[in-house]
Amino acid sequence: MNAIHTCSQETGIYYKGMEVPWSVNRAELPRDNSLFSSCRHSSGPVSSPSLTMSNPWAKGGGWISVLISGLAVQITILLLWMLLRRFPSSTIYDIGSLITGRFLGKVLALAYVGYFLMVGGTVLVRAAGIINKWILPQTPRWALVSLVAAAAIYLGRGNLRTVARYYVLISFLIPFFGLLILYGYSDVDFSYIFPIGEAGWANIAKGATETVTAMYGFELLLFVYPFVEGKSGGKLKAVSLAVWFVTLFYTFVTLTGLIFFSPEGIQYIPEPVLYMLMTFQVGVVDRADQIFLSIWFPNVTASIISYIYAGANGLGYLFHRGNHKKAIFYAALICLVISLIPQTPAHVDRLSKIVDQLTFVFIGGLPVLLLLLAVLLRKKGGKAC
Amino acid sequence: MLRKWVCWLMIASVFLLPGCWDQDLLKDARLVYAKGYDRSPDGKVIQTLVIRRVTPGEEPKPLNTVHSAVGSTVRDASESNLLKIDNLRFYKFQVELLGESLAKKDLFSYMDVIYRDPEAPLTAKFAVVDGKASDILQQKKVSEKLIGEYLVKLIESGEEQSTFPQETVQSIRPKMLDPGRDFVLPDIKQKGKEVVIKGAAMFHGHRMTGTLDPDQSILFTLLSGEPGKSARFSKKVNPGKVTNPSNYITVSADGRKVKRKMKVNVRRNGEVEVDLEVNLPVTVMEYAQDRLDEEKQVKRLNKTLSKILTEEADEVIGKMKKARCDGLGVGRQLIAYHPEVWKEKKWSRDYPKVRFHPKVKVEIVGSGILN
Repeated sequence: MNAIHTCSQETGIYYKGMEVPWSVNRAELPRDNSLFSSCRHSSGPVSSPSLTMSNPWAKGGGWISVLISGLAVQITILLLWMLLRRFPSSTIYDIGSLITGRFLGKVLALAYVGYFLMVGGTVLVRAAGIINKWILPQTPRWALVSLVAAAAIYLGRGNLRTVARYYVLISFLIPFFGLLILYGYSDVDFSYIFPIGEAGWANIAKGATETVTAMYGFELLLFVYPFVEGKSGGKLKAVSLAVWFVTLFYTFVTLTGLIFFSPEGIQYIPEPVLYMLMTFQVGVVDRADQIFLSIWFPNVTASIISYIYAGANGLGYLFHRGNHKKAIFYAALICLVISLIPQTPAHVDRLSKIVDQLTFVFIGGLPVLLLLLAVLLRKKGGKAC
Repeated sequence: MLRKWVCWLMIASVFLLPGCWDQDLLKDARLVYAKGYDRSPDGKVIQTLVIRRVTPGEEPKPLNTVHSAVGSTVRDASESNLLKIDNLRFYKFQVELLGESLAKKDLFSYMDVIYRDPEAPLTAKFAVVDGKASDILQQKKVSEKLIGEYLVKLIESGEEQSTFPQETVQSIRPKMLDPGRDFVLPDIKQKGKEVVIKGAAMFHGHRMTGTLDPDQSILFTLLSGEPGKSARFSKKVNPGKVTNPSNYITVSADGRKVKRKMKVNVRRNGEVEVDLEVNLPVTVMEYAQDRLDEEKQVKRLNKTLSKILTEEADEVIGKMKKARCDGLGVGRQLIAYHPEVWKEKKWSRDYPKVRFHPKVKVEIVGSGILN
């Protein structure tokens, strides 16, 4: 509880429920909405469509897989929310202690710190890989990841509101994604997605298990929940809205890729969005993919920063009496080191696979287990402050 | 104090210097403007590059140099060229010529290097050369124009006039990979000191399997529903001497107003029938006999032109069947809307059995400033 009190005072965006005027309350909702959506946004659009479509199962039904996984994410969100609702002033770091006791709780908190930093590192190494592949082949990876780490330290030293403001700032870039991708419709063939369900519904559902892990980001709910003001119902609404916004956006991107490249052709293209943009000439711009990358990179940075921030906060909770500023340096450093470990694309893939599986554990398994325990032991966190 | 400054310097350099690893100065780059590939009799690839240079001096003058190299693969040949020319850069090439000898082999394996390179300009144009690509490129100039520019203009105007289908390096890729669709590329040839339009080259799978004359390739672009800005025909509509120009009419159709309908039907016995209808509103460009204000006359001309073009469309389709080139994407329609029929078919065998019912409807809607 201690940590959260400190945090909430520090961030200043957390008030007592009743004291907040209704209008402010509402005004804050879009912000956390964009925070959630941006999180998921960032690692996604470039590589996620490939995850859907290059899986040998879904074929032309890849876009349906995305919708199904959106549904799965929604269900997961609902479960997470049911857990978090019981402890309205606690992050996942606290909740563990409250349910399982001090020692186990600390172990759990450490595990979540490890998980957040590992996801951050994986997103970082993949982002750097894409930059290396597409625009800066000679630039060493350490230079690229240090740039992101530097930004993370700079922003992370502030409070969560600083990070949220950065999200609001870059959320203005998101419409450009859509606009650039719309260019693809100059040369598409809708017949590629027919017959709908060609691959068989079982296969499409199977494809959804691949897509679901591409929707990283919503797990930050575990950490952000108490910091966002509003009633629990409002928070659920905001997150759900973000989930469906992102799901529909992904569906749109996946669909565009499929009808642009054909289900056959997309199999060999790991970054279909970039590849598609590479063929457009927008006015005087010869290569739209370069523009896209410049818009995309701040988004990825934002998502990496939130993971580092979440990790630093946990470390602060465990070792610095809730002061995350001290932890942000080595949280960023750990992330940086993780991102420098894999040496070949195969290693990166293996890291991604591990993180994918960890996601199921940390987002699916553990919270559900905690929820069950909380219900059985009738544990409940007090009202905030 | 000093420590603080050193710290700031380091941070600043992290932000400013990373660009330097990947700098590639345009002024040093030797840009390839056009490329050509041929196949030598022993199966090697011959790469011919046209490099654009500007002569130094008071009056800078653009200049082309042409280089050739041989290799087992495309990239292998490039390597030999790279040894000869330093700072060779491919990211601005506009057109790629394919010698017929190479186009008749597995094209996809020659294309791999382009699709793999993040710097490759995927909007470049293709053309098949009747003969050797290197012969055309070695000319360096065609009627005062540099060969690279000349070829780009030639292909672009061919596309505008619907003689060439509008394809780029990227746009043919899904068609190459799709079992239910083939593509058609521009076909050019050398004639004396000129380079001229020969028509279109039809592909089946990854190989070139036939050609169309210029008139036929215009009809093909109309039938495929993707004509360029305009489409022009000159047809003999009156009986009488072939040598008398007044027996001919020249009409032009506005590409945007051309309407095409394609319907793929499957009979109960599994036979595939394709109804193909093209509505062609045209304006008369040249008709020495005039009398276009008479309704009867216009109706007769509409009917005659429709009949001629429908017959020619039949010929085009016959040629496409012979080449097994499914340029209209009938197979694609089957995959998408009749998947159970498609599963029964072996397309390269069954495609020629498809029955087409083409119908071109010409309607004269304008006659210039004369009646």
